[in-house]
Amino acid sequence: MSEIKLLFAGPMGAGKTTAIRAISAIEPISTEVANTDLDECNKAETTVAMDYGELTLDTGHVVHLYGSPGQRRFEFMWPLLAEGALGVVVLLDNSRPDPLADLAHFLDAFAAQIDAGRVVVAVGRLDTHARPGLDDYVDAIAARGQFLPVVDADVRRRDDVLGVLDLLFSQIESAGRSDADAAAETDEWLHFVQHARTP
Amino acid sequence: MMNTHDEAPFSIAVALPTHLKSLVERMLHGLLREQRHHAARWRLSDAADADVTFRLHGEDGQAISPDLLAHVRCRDGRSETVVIEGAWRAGAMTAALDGIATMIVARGAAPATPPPSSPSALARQWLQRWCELRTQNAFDAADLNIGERTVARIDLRSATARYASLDDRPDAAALVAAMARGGWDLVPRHGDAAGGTGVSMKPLLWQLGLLSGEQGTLPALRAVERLRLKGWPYLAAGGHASFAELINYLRNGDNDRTSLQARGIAPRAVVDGFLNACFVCDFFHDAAAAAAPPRIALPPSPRNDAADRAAVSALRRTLGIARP
Repeated sequence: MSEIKLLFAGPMGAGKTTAIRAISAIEPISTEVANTDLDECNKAETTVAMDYGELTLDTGHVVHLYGSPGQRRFEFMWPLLAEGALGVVVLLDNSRPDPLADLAHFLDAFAAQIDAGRVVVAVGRLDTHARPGLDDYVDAIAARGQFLPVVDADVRRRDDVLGVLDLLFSQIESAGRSDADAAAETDEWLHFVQHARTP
Repeated sequence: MMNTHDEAPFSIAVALPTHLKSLVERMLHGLLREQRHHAARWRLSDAADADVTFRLHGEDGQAISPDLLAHVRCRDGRSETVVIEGAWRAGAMTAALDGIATMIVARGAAPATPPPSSPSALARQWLQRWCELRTQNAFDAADLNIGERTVARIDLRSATARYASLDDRPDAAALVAAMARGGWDLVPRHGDAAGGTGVSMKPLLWQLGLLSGEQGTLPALRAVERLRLKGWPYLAAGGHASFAELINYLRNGDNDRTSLQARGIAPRAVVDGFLNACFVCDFFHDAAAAAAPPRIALPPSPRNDAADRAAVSALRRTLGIARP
């Protein structure tokens, strides 16, 4: 088993550090500094490089948990960090001025991972900011010709973080099964053609 | 006489105190005279078994109410009660007559069903009524009555509800239990819908859909030839382990109920419940959109290898989110 990596992405203040802390076996290593980008988010501190946490599996392997920097000027880093990741969790904050625009940025950045069925979007603060609703997110994703889960989650609750990961893992597992079925069907067709061509 | 033929006009009886009766009858005469469509479809009658009987809404002794009650006799012998809000306005009455005419025919066309006893049968019956009201498109609202109480006013178009109290917000199990105890009805009405101010009914509809799966798919769903999801149905998160796989097979409109069942992904009741739930929550495209070529690319899955699946299994065990 090669390196296992999970990436948590999202705009500033969406809860990436909190989500990593919920499952990391070590105290996450953060690069929090005073936030000077108050136009984008008014939180006091923010992550300038990335967060890092670790989880040791019962097989002895270590899962590396990365939190990407949320500022738009680090956008170029997002797909680089996602390269080779087992999966990507995009955390959005519904209280931000235009969460659907945030969504669009991350759907662009992780298009390859989305096509591979390895991305889940979790929207926070829907309880206090009901619009846009989950149906609006689904519509926005469908309008782009993409297909991935969007769910409501409060990453301050560990159960919610686990629920989002459960969903991500189900995506990966079901994609594997569907591929296997497709392969089996192809093989059957191949057998049929080979049989038919046999004199 | 009760109307027994589609082409014969429906009969209206006005069972109101004398002074109001003449007022309403004059209004109806005027309305039918002005609108040929309605004149051909309705006639006034004094018969006790008229297709629809207008009655007072509220106490007899109170001042004239702006609303009327319409007791509707359906073809199958069942009766419905509709509140006509602002019945003294010609527009409200016209809209109500359209809705009632649809109701008489649509309800009459359905065979009478015995009262259901199991929770799944109750859930199915509730959803069938929901689908009828939404398909008829004649009313914009309905009252959910359980026993003698109206527990919610439902906006049929936006699928939102305003509940009488916070305690009335039920989950499916609680709703079905209350329905079994006290009886229930969804009474259509015009106007005063919940609009955007109500609570989304989708979580409740989703649960009822899953619960109804033991009874097979809903009749309205059977008419849908191509099952294609608009997007990932977010209410499926945390549900049965098979949902993710079912969703994958419903992305591009290549499957229907029969082909899904044939794959043996999950027990029949789970698959039918999932399909019912997606249908009543409007997660499926309509027929025209479902037939259009999908814009969604199939996942290339460049690295769905054994190592990834082993990693996922180990992560599930370590985090304590193993699934049955």
